Amino acid sequence: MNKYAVEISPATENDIADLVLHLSALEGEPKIDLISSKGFGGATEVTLIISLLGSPIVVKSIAAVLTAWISRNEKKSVMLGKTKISGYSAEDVEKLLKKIKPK
Amino acid sequence: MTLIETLVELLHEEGPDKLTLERRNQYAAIFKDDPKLIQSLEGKEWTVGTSRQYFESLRDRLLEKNQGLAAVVGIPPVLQVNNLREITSAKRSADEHAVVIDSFVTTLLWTMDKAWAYGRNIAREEQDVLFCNLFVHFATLRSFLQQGLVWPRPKTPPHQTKEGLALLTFMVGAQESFLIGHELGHIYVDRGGELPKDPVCMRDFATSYTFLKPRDASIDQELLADELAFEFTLRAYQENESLEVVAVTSIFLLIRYHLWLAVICSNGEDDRDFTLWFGRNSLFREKARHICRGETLRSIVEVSELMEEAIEPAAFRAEKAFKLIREKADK
Repeated sequence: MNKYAVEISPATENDIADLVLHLSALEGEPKIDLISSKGFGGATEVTLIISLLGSPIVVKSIAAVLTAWISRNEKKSVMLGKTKISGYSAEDVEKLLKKIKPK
Repeated sequence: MTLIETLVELLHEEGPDKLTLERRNQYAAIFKDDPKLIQSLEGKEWTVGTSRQYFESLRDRLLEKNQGLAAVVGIPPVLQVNNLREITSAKRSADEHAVVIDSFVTTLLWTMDKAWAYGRNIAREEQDVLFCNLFVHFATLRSFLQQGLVWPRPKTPPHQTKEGLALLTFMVGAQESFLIGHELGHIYVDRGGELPKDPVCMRDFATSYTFLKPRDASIDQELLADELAFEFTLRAYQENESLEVVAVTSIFLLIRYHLWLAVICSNGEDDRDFTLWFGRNSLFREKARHICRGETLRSIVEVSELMEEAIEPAAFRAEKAFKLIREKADK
């Protein structure tokens, strides 16, 4: 099973409810778990752990959903690994997702 | 594996975790009579559990010395993530709380404390250059890692004596206890623990940031967690006055390092970070005045004066250098 961590800040679980809904509805029904975080510097953050069976079609759809959500929420910082993906195209996000080794 | 342990694995970034030959030789010179200890300092391949045992021993001391704390917060796991973004955080999934410590802060504390504790043996000018370079390194690491504009980390004075290494280890341990105590403080508040009747952090003097901008609820939450952490940590070291002095002054150093970093990284527009650390600094001074013994208070004043004399000028020079690097990053 492939797992990806997508960190969104500043954010609460309510702020990303629509994103979770869209991701959960994708083909293959990826499992989405949420972890809320309160940092020592005062930042609030939510991390999505997306778990899926490695279908290339699903990875492409995840990239499209993420970039569409980012374009509607320009003030949120979205990190995939150590890369801030705000402003990236869906194709670039898809490439980054494919580079992540299964754990 | 729990969800939060899975997250820590996913966020882990590869990095050097072996001792350098130079560092190994320093340890060998100090501990020549104890080769097993050298081997234990050699480092291991990173796993979720590598540092967990150490951090959870700090947590256990806090739980043991603060009666009733475990009944509210439980025994949350304390995990370290090897990346370079945050300081520490309290994380919550559907079924658990956990404390996560970022390797950025453990590296920062070890390196800055080493420069502080061992720096007294080097000339003032050298110490000044060392602190200036350290501030620029950590400020760029925090701000421009993605752009690849990280100022190289300068060499700190070598380990030379067992006593020096013991002091350094204790200082960093007290600071890490405070960080863990802060996150336990958040969990304590989330789970409805009984709060101080007249919290110092809610008084006007501690929130001196209110003259800078309207009161910020998220800063109030952080200061309340700090106040709880300060009490949790102090109780863990109160049995021995000498340990209390070093623990309290070490926490003060932690706050000052970050306050100066906030000044260096401020872009003049969003001063929330500076405001938070400024509020922490005020809270800490007032809290110490209320609950510390005479010897501890005298030490805080001495350390404060020494820091201002020895480190503050370096921080202001680092601010100028950082601005130049930011201009390059913005192009």
